[in-house]
Amino acid sequence: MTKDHLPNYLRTYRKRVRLHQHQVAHLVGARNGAKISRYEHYTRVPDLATVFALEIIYRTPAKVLFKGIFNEARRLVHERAERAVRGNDAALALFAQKILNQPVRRPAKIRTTFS
Amino acid sequence: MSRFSIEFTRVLAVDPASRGLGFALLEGPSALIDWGFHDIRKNRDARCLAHVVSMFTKFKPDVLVLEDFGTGNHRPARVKALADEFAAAAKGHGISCCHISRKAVRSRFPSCRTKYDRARELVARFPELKPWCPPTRKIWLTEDPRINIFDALGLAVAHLTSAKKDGSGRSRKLTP
Repeated sequence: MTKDHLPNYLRTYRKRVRLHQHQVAHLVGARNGAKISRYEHYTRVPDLATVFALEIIYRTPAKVLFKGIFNEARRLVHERAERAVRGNDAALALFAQKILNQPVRRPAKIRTTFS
Repeated sequence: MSRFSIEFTRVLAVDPASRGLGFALLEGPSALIDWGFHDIRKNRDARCLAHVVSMFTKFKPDVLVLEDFGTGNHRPARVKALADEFAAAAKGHGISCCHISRKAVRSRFPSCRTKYDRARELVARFPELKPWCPPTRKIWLTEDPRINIFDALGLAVAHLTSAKKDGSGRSRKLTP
């Protein structure tokens, strides 16, 4: 059993919408599909504008497309919040406690259909 | 364990064939992550093995599912040897290897008479595979390589459903 998602699911969603890498590259404004290939092979992380472009193209929230990165960021924030609760800054501790008290929602399942 | 961890089994199923290999990657029984047929003509064994190893490093699967080439399975010796190499490579990467017989796969799809029926049932379950579904083979035609994707996916689904039924999360023929 594993609990770590892959850094991103761009390849899965691209195949679901039946686009080629060069077609996605055209839509995000890249010269060719090489950059998309690097994103899909986890060797490069897209910049924020490209993330939003990919969100629009695949009609899927960025936190689902980049589930592994999102989960890692969330884990780190919670680690820091736990430290902040034990810290000296009362206002920050109160806010950090609110973050920690947020209910943990199961992440949305990866859709098997694209409508 | 982290409070966010939701455990699932990432299963990579590989079906080596004469022209390359079909593969399917599942996260749990309902999320199909990647699939395809890797077409290789020259230096097939080494390049197939390299491709599978690259998938091990990229996807980090929990289980590699292969067909159980027991007695009565008419597959070329090259394919059987290649599957053994995949299993050895999986062991080297610390990935469990599971062998599932053709009979076990058929028993998971009782309503399907042929592998093409099985492919259509899998398309109903995973609609994104529709463009990859080959037409039923005529007897004078060679087999479409895309059917290997569905063979691999059938193995993965059979493994996940058998693990679910056992309640153990593992199927019986796991090595190591």
